[in-house]
Amino acid sequence: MIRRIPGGGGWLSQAAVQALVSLLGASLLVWALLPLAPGDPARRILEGQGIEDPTPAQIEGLRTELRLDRSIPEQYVSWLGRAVRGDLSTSWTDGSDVRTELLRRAPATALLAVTAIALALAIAVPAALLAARFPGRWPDTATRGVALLGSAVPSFVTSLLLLQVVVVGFGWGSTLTRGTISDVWLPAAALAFALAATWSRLLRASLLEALSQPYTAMVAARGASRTRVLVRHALPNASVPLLHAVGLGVGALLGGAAIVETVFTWPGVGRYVVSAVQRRDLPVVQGFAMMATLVYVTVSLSVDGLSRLIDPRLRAPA
Amino acid sequence: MDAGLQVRDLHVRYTDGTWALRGVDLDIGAGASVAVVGESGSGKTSLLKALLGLLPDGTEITGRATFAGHDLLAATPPERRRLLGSVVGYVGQDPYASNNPLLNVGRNVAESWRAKGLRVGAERIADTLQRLAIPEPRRTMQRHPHQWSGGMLQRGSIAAATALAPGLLLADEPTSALDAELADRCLDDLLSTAPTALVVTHDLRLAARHVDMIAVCYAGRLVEVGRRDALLDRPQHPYTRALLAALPVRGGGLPRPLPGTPPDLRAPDSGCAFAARCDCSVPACRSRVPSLVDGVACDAIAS
Amino acid sequence: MTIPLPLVADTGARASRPAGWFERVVSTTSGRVGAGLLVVVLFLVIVGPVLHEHDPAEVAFGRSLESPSREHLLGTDQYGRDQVARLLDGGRRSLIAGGLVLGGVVTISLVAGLAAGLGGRLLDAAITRTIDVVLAIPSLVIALAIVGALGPGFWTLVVALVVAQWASMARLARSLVLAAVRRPDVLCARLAGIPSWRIALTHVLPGTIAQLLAVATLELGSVIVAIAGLSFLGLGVQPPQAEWGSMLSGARGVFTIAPWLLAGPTAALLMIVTAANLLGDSLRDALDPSTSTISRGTP
Repeated sequence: MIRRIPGGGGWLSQAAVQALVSLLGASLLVWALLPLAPGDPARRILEGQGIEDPTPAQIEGLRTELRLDRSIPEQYVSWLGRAVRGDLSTSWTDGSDVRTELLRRAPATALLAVTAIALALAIAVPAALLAARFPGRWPDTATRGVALLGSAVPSFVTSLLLLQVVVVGFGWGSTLTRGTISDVWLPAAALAFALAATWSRLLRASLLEALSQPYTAMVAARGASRTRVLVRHALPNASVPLLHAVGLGVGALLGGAAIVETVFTWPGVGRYVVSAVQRRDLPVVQGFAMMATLVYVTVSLSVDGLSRLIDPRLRAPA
Repeated sequence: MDAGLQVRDLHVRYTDGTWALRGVDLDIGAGASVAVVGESGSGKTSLLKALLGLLPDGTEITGRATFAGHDLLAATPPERRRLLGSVVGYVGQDPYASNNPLLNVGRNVAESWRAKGLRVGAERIADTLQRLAIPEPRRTMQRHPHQWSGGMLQRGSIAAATALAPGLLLADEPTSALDAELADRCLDDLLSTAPTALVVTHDLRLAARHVDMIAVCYAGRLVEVGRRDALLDRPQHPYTRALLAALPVRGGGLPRPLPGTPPDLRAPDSGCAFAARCDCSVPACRSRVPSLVDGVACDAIAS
Repeated sequence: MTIPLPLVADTGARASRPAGWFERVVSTTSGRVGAGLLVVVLFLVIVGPVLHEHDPAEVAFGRSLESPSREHLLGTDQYGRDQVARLLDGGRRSLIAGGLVLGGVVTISLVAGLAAGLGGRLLDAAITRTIDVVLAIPSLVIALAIVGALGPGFWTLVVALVVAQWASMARLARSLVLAAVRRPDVLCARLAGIPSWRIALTHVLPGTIAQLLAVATLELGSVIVAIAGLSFLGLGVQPPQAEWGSMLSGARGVFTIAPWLLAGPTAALLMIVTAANLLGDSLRDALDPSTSTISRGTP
């Protein structure tokens, strides 16, 4: 039977419009980096092509070609038009196509991010369940202590410590990774540690909140075991806040991956962007920002949709 | 009296040192219904939770409570889980809060079986709801609790609580979330489905219209227990009299609220807990804890 | 990578009495430990450089990569620089940058919040929409993009983090202002015909500032981690200036032979973030009575 969602279609189109508006607004902000950045883009590009001292004529020619001689609104509209069609322009430093370069590295970053999220959930959910099953006893105290530590350690510190202990100490894995599944565990663990810490703290609090509600007492009063009350009733109710935290975590990963990818020399988007930022290669940075925003907006939209699927009260017309 | 509920010298002390119950004795004959009335904090909810085994971990519980030969307090957790639902049923206060908001009403009702590892079909659930006169149960049970009306949902909860035909039904303020007319109907439904019932309420007047017996709870003790009519017509304990005086009566002028505040439940027991607020206390009241004799626990009126 | 949990917007009435929740924060164990850690870090970083005789920038290749000793408590790096001196100097730089970032964030949020709350519906809609758009971009991505446009450096770092962080704080400021506007004293002032800029200054601003500053203090941990993260990537504080993240980055190539280089910056970051997290937990409890253990009594 197909699950009918009352008002579901209306919500989706409305939310999609809002997401598009957000993307449009974000595109304006991201584009605005170009006129705001110091220096003449045409000169930067020519220098990047190896022309040491470009002549005024060369610069003028390129300015016309890039439509930098047009008015500011015209420049934005033409940039947006190309971006919508998937043309993210070319790198200032090596002239390569930004979209191709980003897409080439995207699978490695996606693999890293998905593994990190799965790993973090695989740690956080059992830890929180255990803590909520025995609140105030040793499993609770232990997980809370580790979680407090975990949310305090920045990912680059975790990465360095993992490299020091696991790779140098035990001789497992390698300091250089190639972006394959067998290599993904260490960088993913570095990213997952902080996420798992934050998520287990949040989920534990939501589970205890659900366990203080009358409906869980009601189920217990009908003879359900504590485990059933916790897993079948408290956990689904606590999953909506967790879902939103996972959405925020994706946002954090989109930036945070850059750090871990650099430490582990993971061949993903993040490391590519860090080197582009160092060289002030603006088209690459802008393309990355738009791609990250598109992913983040899509994830946020999915999180809202999933929450509505889980909690029927969110589907109720306000 | 083996078939009914027997509570003997029940004490409950929370981890923060509060004595919620300080020696409760109560007998309910099989098939009878009792309303436990009292101010909030008097221990009536703790009594229910103790019988259900739902008090928080670490709470001290002493005494005995048996129903139809089952020991409710000494039961191990698995034994207790077997008793809950099939021997002892429970109806909560706010029907919206006591149904899992993520599940539709049918699946909430199905929990009566599934909690105990039993399988149940839609037919059975619909029949259960039908018994409480819920119209078109097959269709309405597909809807979620927030889409039901309060009175209907509480009837659904009663249907769920009595699905396995428990001999004893415990209800905690089952009508406080409903308006007066619905409350009457709901309590009627509840008592008609339950062989033996213990209803906690602060609404003395509502209780008076439905139950067989009334037990008055004050500061963790029952101060007066009696048949409904006898207790309402000839209240003996000063607290019962004060409770009745606090009810508005048509043509009776303004109700007289009870002066003072309930006692500190952490303090050690010394004398009658009501003595400080009582207008007929004698010096002996402050030194000796009165015991329940002939349904009244008061040394002042006895002497 | 610390994900800030949203603080529940509080009613203005309580916001106007910051003393109440400050006492409650300090009354909890986690609040006391957090405040104590923060005071220790601040003390070391402010007073430490005065007491410590080594110069953080003094290069001495003859003493490079020395393990910890009486002379150099945390050892020396590749250039023979004293790690304690660099840790303290870097801490000062981190805290100054963090203070500047939070000052900028609070200022922008206050202006945006007041304008949205008191400036009428159109302005409110415009500001709210802008906040939504900025929040649609992950904040580290904003910071990376701005560094990419302006080029790395101390001031770029400050600007980048202000732009990356202001939106969520402005959202909180707006809700605080809106709550304050509905307060009875503000309604009375409005009815009395007092101009709205004046109401903003006398009735709304003080309570809102107190609350925002409290939240900002708790963000200090995540801001310092962001500073360290960007500096670690070479996009923040530039060498030879010391900073915890760039110290770790410098240690990256040699940590197999000089693991002590990791100890100082790691411990420093851990201390300051733990302090902020502990303070944050107790402040959340103090601001939101529903989660506090005091109000959750027995039935």
